[in-house]
Amino acid sequence: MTPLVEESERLRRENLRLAEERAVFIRYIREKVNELLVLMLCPAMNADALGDMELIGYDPIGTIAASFSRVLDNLKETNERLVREISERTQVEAALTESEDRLRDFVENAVELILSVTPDGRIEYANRAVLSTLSFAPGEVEGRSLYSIVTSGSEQGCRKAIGQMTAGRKAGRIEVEFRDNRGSSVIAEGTATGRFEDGRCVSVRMILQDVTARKKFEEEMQKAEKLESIGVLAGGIAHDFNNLLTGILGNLSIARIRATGAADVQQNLSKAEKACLRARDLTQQLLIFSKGGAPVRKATSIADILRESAEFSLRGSNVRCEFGLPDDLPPVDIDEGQIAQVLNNIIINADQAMPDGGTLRVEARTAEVGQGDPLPIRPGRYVRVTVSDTGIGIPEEALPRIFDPFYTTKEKGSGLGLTTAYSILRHHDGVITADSEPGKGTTFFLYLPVSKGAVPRDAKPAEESRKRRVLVMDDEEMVREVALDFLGHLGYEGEAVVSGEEAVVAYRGAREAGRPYSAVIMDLTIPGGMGGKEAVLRLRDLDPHVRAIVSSGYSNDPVMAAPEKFGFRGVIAKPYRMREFGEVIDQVLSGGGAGVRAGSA
Amino acid sequence: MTAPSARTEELDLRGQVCPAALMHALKKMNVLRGELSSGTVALRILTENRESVPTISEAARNMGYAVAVDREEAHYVLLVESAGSVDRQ
Repeated sequence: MTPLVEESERLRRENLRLAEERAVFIRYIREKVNELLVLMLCPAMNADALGDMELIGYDPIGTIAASFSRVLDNLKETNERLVREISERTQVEAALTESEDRLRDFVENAVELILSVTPDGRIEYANRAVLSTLSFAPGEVEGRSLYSIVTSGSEQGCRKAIGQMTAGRKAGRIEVEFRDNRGSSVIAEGTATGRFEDGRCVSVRMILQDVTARKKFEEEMQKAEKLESIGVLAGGIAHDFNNLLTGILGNLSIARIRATGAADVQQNLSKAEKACLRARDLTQQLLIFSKGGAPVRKATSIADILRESAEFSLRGSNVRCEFGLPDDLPPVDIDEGQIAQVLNNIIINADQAMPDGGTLRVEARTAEVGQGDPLPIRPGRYVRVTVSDTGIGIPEEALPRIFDPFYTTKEKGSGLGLTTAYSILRHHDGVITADSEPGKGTTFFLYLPVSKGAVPRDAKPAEESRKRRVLVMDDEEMVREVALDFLGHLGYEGEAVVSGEEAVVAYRGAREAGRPYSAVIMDLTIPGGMGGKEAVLRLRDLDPHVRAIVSSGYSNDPVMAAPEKFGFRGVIAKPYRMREFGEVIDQVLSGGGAGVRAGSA
Repeated sequence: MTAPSARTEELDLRGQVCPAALMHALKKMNVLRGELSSGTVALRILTENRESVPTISEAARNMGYAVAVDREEAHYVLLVESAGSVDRQ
């Protein structure tokens, strides 16, 4: 083999080797380019589509590398944009959340009852005020029918209002009476508005205020106004009635004196007199009711009043009465008619609390009230009256309210009986309290201050006062006649006039004639003329020592409660009995100071 | 909505198939990179090769450009321009 041939052979082999090597490199480049293209999400190249030489000619790695840097830049830009967008979105979301929180806070914590119901009445949402006002637990209301938590009387109104919204009305006033979880009525009023989608009502929103207290107050105001007008009427009737009773009672007293010896007639007259006194107490109640009259108090033994009231109030009842009344009970300063009214109220209540019969126990004893005592009365000696029944008792929640005006558990009760009782006891510087155990019974405690005076005994006209002259001034003929009759029986010489003017003339004339009057009894009011209030001032001008006694059926007039402030020395409330009538005149004439009292008030 | 770019350059790839067409397109886009990004130039690519249309479009989008494809009678027109001149979706 020549060197040339050898050289050629070497070059051929070398060429083959290089070609193989080149093919390896190109295969390598093609593989890597394909990997890069795939990375760039482009389809890989195949040898058929692009020859080796062309492949190299396109500088694929350079081209792809340059493209890659652009892709990377783009990714970076995209990333930054996304970060920016995310931060913006986060801010917007935070603002939205805050705004939503604020709105939810408004609605959830509103005092108003806010709820939303579907057109068929299902409750979709109810705020906290709804739950707390109606005593429901969270989640107990949503999903329920609105009509299941309103009263049957309110259902129709609610259906109508919701119906109007679904028929296209935008808004309207609504009043709803709910029945709360405990069964009590809650009245709410406010607005209902429809929420519309594509012109169709999808729900009704309600914003309501609880007006239960206001409604009750309005009702009570109406009741109070009605009662007040009745009170004015009652006061007027009571006054006329007292004048009539004075005539009846006076004539009865005189008839009893004239019928001395006829025991059966005496009995009838005594019964008639008792009935009159009961009528007098009734007019007294009317007067207290009409004006809340101040009591005209005198020292009295409470034991007799307790027995009388119990017997009177329990007549025809199947309730047995037991008394615990010690003999040495001190007298109390009371207005007999008023305290009898209190006792009658309590005892009638007790009787009604024992429909199947039972025992009423009435006790009285002295009690010392000390400084630290929780009772709202001054420390001192009191007579404590206890009236206990074995009846149904008063529910615990009702007990604190029984003295409230218009509070009653009776269908036909006025709710004023115990209120009046409370008011009367307070006017007597005493107090009334109650204790009760449902199913066992109720006890009322009455505290009345012990009197410093003695119980006056039946009148026995003093000898020395006989044949003294007494002037009576009253516009009612019947009253004048009775008073003159009484005076005659009591041994006085009586004269009568019809007005203040005449009284002044008569008083002056008698003094000038040397036959002065020892006392003057004057009616407080004279329609169309001078009443006792003015006349007493004129008489005092004539005679500063005039012994004037005021007499009236208006027991709640300030003159009757404090006569001494107006120049009188005594009070005789109409209607009166001879005994009381004589007592007052005797005491005034014997120099008894101001404030001598008698009669119904 | 596309705001018209100031200038349009045309790259006629008719007669070439992928991946040569892609290489040409990539090269051209790399050359015009700055102007394409700023929106001063739009690149109009003509191709008859159906496979090249999604390939070039995809690559251009990966590089951050907006691409609109139109079909003419015998070829496709790909308009590549700055994504900034197109409303973000």
